[in-house]
Order: sequence, then C-alpha cells, then structure tokens
Amino acid sequence: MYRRYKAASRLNQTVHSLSFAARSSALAAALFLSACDFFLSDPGTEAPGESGLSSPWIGKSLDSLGEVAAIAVRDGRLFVANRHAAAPGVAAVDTATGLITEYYPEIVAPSSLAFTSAGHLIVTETSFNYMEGSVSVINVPAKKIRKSVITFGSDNGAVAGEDGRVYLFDRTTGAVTGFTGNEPGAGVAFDVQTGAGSNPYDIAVTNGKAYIPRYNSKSLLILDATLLGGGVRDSIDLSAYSKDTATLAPRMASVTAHGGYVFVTLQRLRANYSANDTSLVVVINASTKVIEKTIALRFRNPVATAAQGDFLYVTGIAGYGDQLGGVERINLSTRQHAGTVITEAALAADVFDFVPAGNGTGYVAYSTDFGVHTRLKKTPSAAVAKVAP
Amino acid sequence: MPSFRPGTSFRLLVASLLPAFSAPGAEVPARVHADSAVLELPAAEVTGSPDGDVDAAVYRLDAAALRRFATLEEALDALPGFRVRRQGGLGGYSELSFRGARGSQVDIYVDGIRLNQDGDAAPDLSKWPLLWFTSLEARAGFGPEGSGTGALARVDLSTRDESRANFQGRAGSFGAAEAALSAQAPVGAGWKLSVGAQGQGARNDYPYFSDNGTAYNPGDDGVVRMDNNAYRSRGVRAALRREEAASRQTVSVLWLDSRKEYPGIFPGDARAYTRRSDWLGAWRLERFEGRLPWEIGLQARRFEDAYRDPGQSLGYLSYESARLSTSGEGDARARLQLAPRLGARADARLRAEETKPRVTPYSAAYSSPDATRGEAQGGLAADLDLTPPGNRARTHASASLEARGSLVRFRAEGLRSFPDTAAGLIASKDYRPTALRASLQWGTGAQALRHTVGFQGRLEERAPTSGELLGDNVGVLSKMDLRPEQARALSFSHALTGASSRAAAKASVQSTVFWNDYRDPIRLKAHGASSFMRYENDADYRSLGFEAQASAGLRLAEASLSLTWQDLSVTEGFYKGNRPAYQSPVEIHAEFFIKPPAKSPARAGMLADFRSAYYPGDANVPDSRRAAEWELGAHADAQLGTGGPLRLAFDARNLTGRHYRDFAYSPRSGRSYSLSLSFTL
Repeated sequence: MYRRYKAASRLNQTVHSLSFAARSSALAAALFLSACDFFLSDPGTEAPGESGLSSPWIGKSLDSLGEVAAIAVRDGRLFVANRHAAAPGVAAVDTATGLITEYYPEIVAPSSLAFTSAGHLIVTETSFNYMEGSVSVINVPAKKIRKSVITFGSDNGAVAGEDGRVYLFDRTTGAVTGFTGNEPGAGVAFDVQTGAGSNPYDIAVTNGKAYIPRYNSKSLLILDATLLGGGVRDSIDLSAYSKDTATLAPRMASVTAHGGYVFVTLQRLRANYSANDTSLVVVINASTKVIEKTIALRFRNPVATAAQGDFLYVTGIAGYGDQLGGVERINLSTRQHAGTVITEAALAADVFDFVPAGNGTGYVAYSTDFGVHTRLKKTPSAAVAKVAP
Repeated sequence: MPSFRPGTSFRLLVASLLPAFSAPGAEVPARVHADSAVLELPAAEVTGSPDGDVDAAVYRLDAAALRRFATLEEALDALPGFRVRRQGGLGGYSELSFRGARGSQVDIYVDGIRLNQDGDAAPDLSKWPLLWFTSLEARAGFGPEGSGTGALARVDLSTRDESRANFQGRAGSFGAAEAALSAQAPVGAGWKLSVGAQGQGARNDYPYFSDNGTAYNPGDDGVVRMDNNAYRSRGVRAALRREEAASRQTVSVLWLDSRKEYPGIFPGDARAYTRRSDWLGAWRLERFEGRLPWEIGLQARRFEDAYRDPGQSLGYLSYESARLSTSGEGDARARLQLAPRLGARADARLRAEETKPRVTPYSAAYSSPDATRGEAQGGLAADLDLTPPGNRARTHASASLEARGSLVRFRAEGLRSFPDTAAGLIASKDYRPTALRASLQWGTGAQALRHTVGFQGRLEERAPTSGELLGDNVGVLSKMDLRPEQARALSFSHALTGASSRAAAKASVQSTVFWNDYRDPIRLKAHGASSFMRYENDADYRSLGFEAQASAGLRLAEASLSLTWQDLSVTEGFYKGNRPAYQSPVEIHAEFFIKPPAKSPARAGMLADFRSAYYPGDANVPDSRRAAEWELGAHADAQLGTGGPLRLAFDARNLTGRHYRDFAYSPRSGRSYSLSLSFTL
C-alpha cells in the first residue's frame, strides 16, 4: 500500500512539468490510482506493529539466546523472552530446526509470556533497574509486535488463565488484572488488589473461582473470577506448611487447576530464604476447599511450573549454585509424583524453567552463572529412569 | 581499567594556560580567607574567592532563606543544577543529583566534615535537621579549593551561630514538631564553647488519593491515610574553638540519631524502618600567616545504618540490611607563594574505613562480608595571578590548574555472592582515580557593579565504593569488576552584581552554560536474565544545559529566581538518544516577598516550584512519562519589637496539593502548614 502511494506521489510530481491537458490527465490518473488503493486494499489485513522478520537474530541458533527470562511453546514454535542488554526482544524458534525464525524487538526487556485465546502473545516487560514496566502484544499469525501498548507495574508478569483470559501481575503493588481479547487495558474483567506487599505469583481459574498464591502470605486467596473486584474474599490457610517462623508464609510459587483440584507448589523457604526443607505440592479439592494431600517434591525451591495434558512439570532450583535441583513431573489426574525429567547435576547448571514441547521433548532454561546468562537446552519431557530421587 | 585520555578541548585549554605561568607582575598576597566556611566544627577545606569577586556558580542560602524550606533537600532542590528525588514527609529518604550526575559525585560537608561514606552512594540529606544549620553553600565547581577526586560539586552546611543563645521551634501539619537549641560562651584561654541540641518528630500521616493499584477498577478507589511513616531524630553537638590573629583551632563532636518508618505502598501493616546513628569527631588547626599558610585536621566517624523489617512486613522488599562503618581521616594542606604572581597549593588526605555487616536472622545467609577501604589522595595546584598591572583596584584575573591522584585499596573478607568471585575468598581491588581541573576567572568593576566571568574544565574519575562493589543485601549482589566512573565537564559562568546604597537596592545575576559527559556511570540494575540487582557500569550519557540564578532586593520588596534547563541524552547502547531516568529538562524555583514599611523587619510572599515532565527510566516509554509538577507556597515572618529577640514565621507549602511519587513508597504529603518561632539572645 505504501509503495502504491509513493508511486502516485511520484506521478503527481511529474505532472508539474507537463501541459495543462497532460497535467489534467496525469492528475486524473494519479487520483484514480489513489482511489484504487483506497477501495481495493483491505485495511483489516494489514496488522499494525513492527515486523518480527527483519532482525539480524533471524537464522541464528537457539544457543545464541543467552538471557532467557521466560519460555512458551505453541504450534511447533518455541517463544523465548530474551533480556539481552542491547537487543531485548522475543524470539520465535522453530522446534524442528532449532533456528530463530522471528525476533520481535522490545523497548523494555521482556519478563514473561502468555498466550491469549486467539493465539496472540502477551509480553510483560520490566526494565533492568525495575523502574519501568510495560506490556507488548505480538500478533503471532501476522508476525508483528506492538511495543509497550500500556505501562504496567515495574516487577510484572503474565499468566494465561484456564478461562481464556490473560492475567497481568504487578508484584510491587499486588494488583492482578485479567482481560479478554488481545488488547491489554481493554476488556478488563478482573482487577483486584491481593494485599499490600502480598506479592501475587500466579492464578488458576476453575468453576468461576480464581485461586491466587501470594508469595508473602500465609493463605491462598480465593476470589470470584466473574466479578471485576473479585467479590467476597476467601482464603485457605497454608501456614502449617511454612518453615519461616517469622512470617509463617509457605512461599507459594505457583498454582494449577485440573480436574476439580487445585495444585499449589510451596517452596517452604526459611526466614533467611534458604532452601533447606522439602518443598511440596498441596492438592486442594476445589469444591470443598479441603487439602486432600501433599506431594513431596524431589527438588527443593520450585521456581517454575508448566502444565501440559495430565502432567505438571515442576522446576526446582534448590540453592543457587548447589546443583541439587532439577525438573520433575506430577500426574495431575492421579495426583501422584511422576518421576524426574532432568537433574541439575546432569546439566552441571542451575535450572530456572522448563516447558514441554510435545513429541516427548521439552526445553529447559539453565544457567551456570546464577541467572546472569540463561540458555536453553532441548531435553526429553518424559521421566528419566535410573535417576536417584 | 580506563585511564584519563584528555580530549582535544581540554588539551587546548591547558595549552592556553601554560604561557601565563611565566608572566611577571606585582606581588600578590596569599589568598587564605579568615571568613571561610569553617564554622562550629573544624573545616577540612578552605573555600573562598578572590577578594571582592563574586564566585561564579556558587549559590548560598542564609539562615532566613533556609527556614523557608521544610527540609534541607528541598532547599538544595531549589538551587540551579541540583535535583533531589524524595519520599514524602519529614525524614523521607532523598537522593541527590547534580547536572545529571549521581549524588555520589557531590561532596557534602557539615562544618567542614565530609559526610560521604564509603558504603553510601550519597549522603541522605533528609536525615540532617534543617534547624541546625545557619547557611548552605553549593559550589558548582569554581573556587581554588574544590572537592576530592571524582566530585563535581560541593555542598557546605554550616552550624555557625554568632548569638549567645538561640532557640528555634517549628510545628505543623501531620504531627510535625522540631526544636533546636544552641548556646555559645567563652571558657577561658581564648577558647569558646558552642553547644547545640535538636529534636525532630513527625507522624507523617497525611491523606492521599489511592486507586489501590487497580487502575481499571474504580470501585476500590478512595482517599486513604499514610500509615507507618513516622520519623524522629535527635542530636547534640559541641565544639571548642580558639581564634587568634594567625591561627584557629577547633575540636568538635556531634551525635545524630534517627528512625524512619517505611510504609507499605498501600495502607497496611508494614512495619519496616531505618535506623541511623552517627558519631562524628574532629580536630583542626589552621595557620594563616607567613609565606606558607597551612592547616591540618583529623576526623573520625562511627556510622550505623540499618534497614529492619522484623515482621517481614514488606514481603520481598523486606531484605534486611545493616552495617557499621568506622572511619578515620587525616588531611593536611599548605599554600606557598612561589613567585609574585604564582602560588602553589598542595594537599594530602589519608582515609581508612571499615564496614562490618550487622547480621539479622533474615540476612545471615546473605549479608555482606567485612570490608576495608583505604585511600590516599593528594593534589597539587598552581594559581596564577593574571591581573593587569595598574588596575588592581577594579580588576582581578586568575587561572588555576590542579591535578589530583588517589590510591584506593579495597579488601573484603569472604565474598558471599556470585558470580564474580567464589564464596570464601578474600577479594582485593585497587583503583587509582585521578582528576585534572583547570579554571580561569576574571572580575572587574566596583562594588556598585561587579562583573565576573569564569571558565572551567574538569576530568574526574571516581572509584566504586565498597557498597557498590559488594552490594548491600540479598537484593543487591556484589560485582567486583566495576570500573571507575568518569566525568568530563566544561562550563562557562557569568556573574553580575550591583548595589545602590542610596536606593537600598541590590541585584545579582549568575548564569552558567555547562556540558558534562559521563562515562561508565555506576548504576544499580539487573544483569541479563537475573532478577538480582547489582551495580553496573552503564551506558554513557551527557548533559548540556544552562542554569541561572537572579535576585533583586529593594526597600519594599525582594525576589529571586532559579532556573535550570538541561538537555540530557544517553549517548551509547540500546537507549542511545533517550533521556536518563528522573531528569527533567526544566526546573524553576521562584520567590517574591514584600517588606512592609514598619519599625520591625517583616516580610510576606509566595514561593513557586516547577519541574517539567520526566521519565522514571531510560527506556522512555511514552506512556510512563510523569506529568510536569508545580507547587505553590507562602511565607510570612516578623520580628516582634524593634531589635527584639523573638521572631515568628508562618509557612504554607505545596498549596497545589500535589501528591506525586518520586519513589514507590510514600507519595508527597500535599498541602501543609507550619508555624515557627525563634528566640535569640
């Protein structure tokens, strides 16, 4: 469209040097071209935003991404939030070839990824000094990014809810904002304050109820997900599992809803944030709010989870640098431990995240320098035999 | 490690000054001033200007001007070139910057004792009680004796009081109450004793509008009260001083203790607070006479600084941090008249500081190790009198060239953090920051109309502090490979003063055009994908600007205006072309007072502040830009009875009711009022 407009403009410039008749004819032709452009082009097919196809990152291998902050998989492509100091952005990697096919540059470094129900990718961004935060939208089918559509928090995150909404987290203020559609800031259906200093980490929605683990709180917050303000506040006390004698916070890190149950991972760090005790997954019956069981994790200090099908993949970092962590699985249907996927010892690194990619594979984010440089490795997603618990 | 590579402009400047050193001329007296900034406590530096000249880019606030502000940082913020970010309420944390440079590049002295500690990025002026001080002088670079290596400006706070006794009290909105008492008396053998005490307290429980963090949900919006934001401080000081014709000697001690609570972002049950306890002691001896005037001083400081949150009430912001810093410092300086027109200055400073963590149950696993930092610093300067022969009564011209060098040795026992050095090792680091300074000043005219211009060039290098190298708690990790940060500064200043005794009028205008280039600035940020923060050498940036201060006084009115315009720009990296965080292009402070024709002095008037829009980060996301801020205030004071000892004042501040936030915690307090009383004998 832009090229056609330029052609018409050039034609307009030319007519000045012609006779009146010729100028009139040429002008008419230019007007005709412009009119054709206006009526024949479909503005709906031209998605706004910057293309993800013009970056020098394209064609590079997965290994070139060294500052991985978040990962997500969809339709055979791995999306990677890359907090590169000079070129922060989101990379799309072909899982078959391991090569970057798109790279969406950002203004602020990306911090988390969540897909909308229509397949657009919502990217939260946090500056390196935690002073600025914003949200960008990647139109994945059109391969375009709209940068920093709204500002949101300065220590933020995004989660795709089971109800089709995307939920944004402002961990500094404690706000959780859920919206429908692909436009953050529009279609807001849920906007709640989870408590001053409570530090909300995640959300799971089932049967109209929103379950929100708060890292600094003793209890799992339960709100009405159908109401903007969350309705009457309810909670389940999990302080009995805390190892922090000062706050009694069990350090809830994530939540997943599956089959009428809510699964909450508990880091159970001590008051000085040391990971000396067994971490747990608490299984709560969503209809009765009763804690039906706990599942002991093999790796302490769970920092990330990813659910796919019947399995919940839990990434436990244990202590930084001790290489005692790893990735393990929970069977959400049987509510049983389902084995170890990979260990930190096998990677000789700390693990930070894991995402299953289908076909029995997954990607693990690991670092040998405490998260300054975080890279990705393709691994099996099934439980590995002969790994000591 | 980078070293100085003087740019072309600097080389030209130095080259242009060199021939002047051989210029013959008449004898010039040594320029050591008895009316220096040495006050109740002994001074480490002598500051001054050529006799009769007005120093360019030097801004002074006397006691009366200081009292119009609620806090010291607000007073400094009103001066050209200075920007102060601050939390709301009395005692709220503040952070200083100068012409775009960080506060660590501003040296702050109380009665000649330097407050910049090794672990600090910059002294927090909010913890120093305004009522204690009788003057504030900010030197933006000129003057033969400047600051230590790496400093671009110097702020001198003075407690000197010539009265026999003085009491000041102030009470106002949000439970604020302050009082200061001082007394002076001779104690024999030429010695004079000065003592002072002060106390401050404020509940800071002001109301403000909150959207509860939920911008899309108006149902939970409302006016809330700022809780857990109280502040209190107390302090005492004593000084012995003996002044003779040829010498001056002072011995002094000071103690200041403060406690500031930190509220949550929203009203809640946050119970975090900072506690600071400061002991200062100093001795200084100065000799004025002879061909070699000299001075020598010693000072010691014990400074305990703690951030506590025993109930972990601020969640992941609850990382406790506490340290005890003990330092000793000795310095000596001398002047020598080498030739009739050529003087030399030399100074040396030795400093040692030990920083020990104070471990709490929450910081035991992460607290910083013991660290020591030794510093030897020396400077050599040449002062050349360029005054044309035969015109000395009206004209003075001078040039100065100064070179400074330092050796900084840093040592930490057992680094706790990663990834630079494995835990348990002894880390040691040496830095050799240097500085080169050149200035040229020319003044002419009589007292009725005096005109001064000055040109200055500086290359400054600042070594990282131990706080920057080691981090301070679990949230800020160590980074041992920091490089020194550099600043290159050029400025041209102009000052014009005039006075008419017949019309009882006086006026002055000062203006400065400056260009500052900051290389490898040390800033706090996360590295890569790590969520841990540490100090990093960040992208270079520069500041190009203009600042001015104008004041006029007539028999019935007086007015002043401070203006700063600066264009700041990141000059490399991803954010090249963007404006650095928290820097406004335009800042204005204006005051206007009328003085009714009465037997007793009185005045009443308005104050106004304006700050143009700014970004909270370097990314300059358009939606994040903070709106321009403006405030109005009013002030009235009157002395009761002719020459009477009692003075009353009323202040109204922030009448526009702005509640903007410079930090996540504690918005500004909005409208406030105070009533002050002073009684002087």
